[in-house]
Amino acid sequence: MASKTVVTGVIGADGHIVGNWVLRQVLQQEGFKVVSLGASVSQRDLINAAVETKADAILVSSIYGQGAIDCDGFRAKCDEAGLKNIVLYVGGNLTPSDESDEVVESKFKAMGFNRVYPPQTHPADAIVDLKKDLGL
Amino acid sequence: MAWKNEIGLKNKKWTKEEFFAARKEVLGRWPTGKEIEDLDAAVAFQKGLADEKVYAKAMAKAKKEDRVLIEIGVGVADIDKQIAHMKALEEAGADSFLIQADTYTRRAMYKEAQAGRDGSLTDGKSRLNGFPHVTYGTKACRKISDAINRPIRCVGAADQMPQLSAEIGFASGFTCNSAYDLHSLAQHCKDYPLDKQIQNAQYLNWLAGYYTAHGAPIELNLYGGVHGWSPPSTMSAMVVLHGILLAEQGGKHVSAGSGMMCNVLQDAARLRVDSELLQEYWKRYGYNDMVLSSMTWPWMGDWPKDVFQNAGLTALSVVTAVLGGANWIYVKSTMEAGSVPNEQANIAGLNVAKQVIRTMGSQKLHDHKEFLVEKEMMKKEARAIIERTIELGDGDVAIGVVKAVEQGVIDVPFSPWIGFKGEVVPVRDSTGALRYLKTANLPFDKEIIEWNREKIAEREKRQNRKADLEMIIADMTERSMPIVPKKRSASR
Repeated sequence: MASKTVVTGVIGADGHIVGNWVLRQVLQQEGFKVVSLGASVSQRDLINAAVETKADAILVSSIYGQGAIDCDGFRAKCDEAGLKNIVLYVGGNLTPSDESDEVVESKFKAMGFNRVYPPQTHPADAIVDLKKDLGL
Repeated sequence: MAWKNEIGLKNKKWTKEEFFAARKEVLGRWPTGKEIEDLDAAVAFQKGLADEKVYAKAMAKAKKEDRVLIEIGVGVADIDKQIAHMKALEEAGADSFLIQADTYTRRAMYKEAQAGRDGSLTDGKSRLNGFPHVTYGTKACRKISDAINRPIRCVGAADQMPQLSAEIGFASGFTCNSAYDLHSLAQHCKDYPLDKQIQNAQYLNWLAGYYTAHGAPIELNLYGGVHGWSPPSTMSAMVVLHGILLAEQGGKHVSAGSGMMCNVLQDAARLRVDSELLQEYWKRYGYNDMVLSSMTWPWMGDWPKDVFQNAGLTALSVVTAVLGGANWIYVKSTMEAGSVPNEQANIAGLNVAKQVIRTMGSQKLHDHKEFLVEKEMMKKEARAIIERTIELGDGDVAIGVVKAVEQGVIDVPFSPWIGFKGEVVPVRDSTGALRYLKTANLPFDKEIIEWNREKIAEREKRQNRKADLEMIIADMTERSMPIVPKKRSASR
């Protein structure tokens, strides 16, 4: 099986990196090729990396609560860059207020993310979904 | 990536001319800077604050009365809601406040902060993760210090380019600010140059020194605790090195802050180590009349969603801080795992903390055998880093810190900042204390390396597993899980 390529990064002005580091380790253990952009990554950086590496998915982390601002318009920009239908996941503390996981999920799905993960999601759970979504 | 000292940085007190020349540019970074061109008027405003609103004075009073202060954080985009929230907490017993600035403000992204503030007011709900005090400006922010009868700290210096943030904060009547430079890069920044950041901190500390010298004492919080995996002795070394730089610029009132790693003995030892080493090095460098307090910041790793599990972590942090002799304690809300806290969640956290403090009284760790060993070894490790840094700078700490980072003498694991070598690896021993699994280029002798190895080996033997990546990942992900694990499921 050819390994699939995943771009990861913590979006916007967000510097919280530890969870993203764990995600990278577990993805690599599961055989994915990980292009890890680290923290404080723009939408443009994520898209450019996905285009350059012909990535199969982009996994966006956001911990500091301003994810809705930072992710706005991301799917449209992916489409413009020729990444139509690329698998997009987002996870973390995605809004600053105490909204339910369901409300947050529908907000980010409306933005074009395929899956939306609340805090305390173990990377292994997301990877089960990722394998399904990538036909593995 | 290597970072060089490209701007001729030195640990030398700025002249008045250098400061005011730089100030012109700083105040021009956002229109609200125009409101505070007259620095002496700003100092006079601060000087006129009632004692109960001044951090340094409240600290002195609390120490005399043997009280431990509890600080609570509030940060929302709407200033009226910010004031209402703080008022409710004041009435619930909070001793002081942290105004948590939003990340855009902390990163000097003032255009984005303004857009976030304006959008939040339109929506009726905060889009930002904090209070955009630079957007509001001093005239508006003085409404906060007018309304609140407790000291206020403004974390606008938490990330990069803190100068305008600190200027507006101090002029608004906020009497405490964060004073760290390398630490702020380590915690939240990506690629901001270290030499420029140390220079930025010199500005901030000179400004605080100016206020202080003119009768309006500013408390400077020197904090070390990047996240939940910050090796205490590396953090301690960074605090001490920053403390030398701060004192050179005229800062006098210092609260040394440590982040809890959740081992009681190690965290309590850290409080003492920072205080003792700061006083030792200030004396060595000839900085007299320093007024030192100590504070703690709670666990900076993953927090449980369940409010009672959360309360358990808060209680542990407060017990540790009291045992270690902290003068003030920052307390998180019961919503820490999810979002910016509301009033009820902040009051819940406050009550947990106050109950612990009331019950513990004046209990402190003194001659506990393992506590003393922890202190001694932490001091040895921190001193090794400090001394090598001083050596690299030929006695100049500013030059030394830049070289030390370049060579991996100071290396913070799991940092978003690309300036570190990133080769040090920490792991917990069987008591949960953080030890060095890989010391890389840290200037540790055989005794220190062996001591860390033995502590890790104890855990390996006890748990019949190797200290490796698997162990680290498990430790990072299991602490905040529900007590009875739910069946794992995918997203809906």
